[in-house]
Amino acid sequence: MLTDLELLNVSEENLKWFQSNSIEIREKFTGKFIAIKDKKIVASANNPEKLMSVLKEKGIDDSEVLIEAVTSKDEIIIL
Amino acid sequence: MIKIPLFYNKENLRVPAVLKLPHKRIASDFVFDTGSPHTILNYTDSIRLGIPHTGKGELIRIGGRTYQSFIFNKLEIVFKSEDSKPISIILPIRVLKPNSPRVDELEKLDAFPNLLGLDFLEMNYRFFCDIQNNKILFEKD
Repeated sequence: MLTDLELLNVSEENLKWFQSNSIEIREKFTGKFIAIKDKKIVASANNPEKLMSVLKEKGIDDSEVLIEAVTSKDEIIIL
Repeated sequence: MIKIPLFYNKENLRVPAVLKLPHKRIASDFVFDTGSPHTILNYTDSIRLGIPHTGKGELIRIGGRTYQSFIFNKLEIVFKSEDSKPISIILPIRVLKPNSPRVDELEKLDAFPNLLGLDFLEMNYRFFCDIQNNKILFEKD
């Protein structure tokens, strides 16, 4: 089991990878929810509940993945 | 001095985090939002953590829409400092929940990121932001 610091490192690496590859990711996964592990997209689905099911089917621990909603490049989120 | 770096990608400022409950722990991240008075946990991560959506709380308006929320006091949030140490805080957070079980309602709710609000800065953190030189951080004595 990873320590908190190891899990933070995993989260940081995956977040940086997602941010720096967002253009390519959007081309393939706009409108989807993706799970990132070890700087790879290991699963995608139309909603988080389905994504959890896919991760479970693949035997991937959902606590160690970064889950992101992929928005279109034409869609700007203003909170 | 504690320093926690944030990451900017020309869209928003994000900070990686681990979210912890006694029975579950997940990797996640927050968008830092100075427009939000409160820290908000999105619906997706509340499901991942197994937080029951039974609490009563406030209405929250985000992006022109109003959502139900409730206050949850037991979440531990762990950030990583610049010198690679875990920095743990416990902050009452608002958890978003759907107004109804309609699919379109859930889809809209699902897409929101976690928001780190001004209540975090009230824990004696300062916010330093120099985007041009990519030096963006929280700091605390």
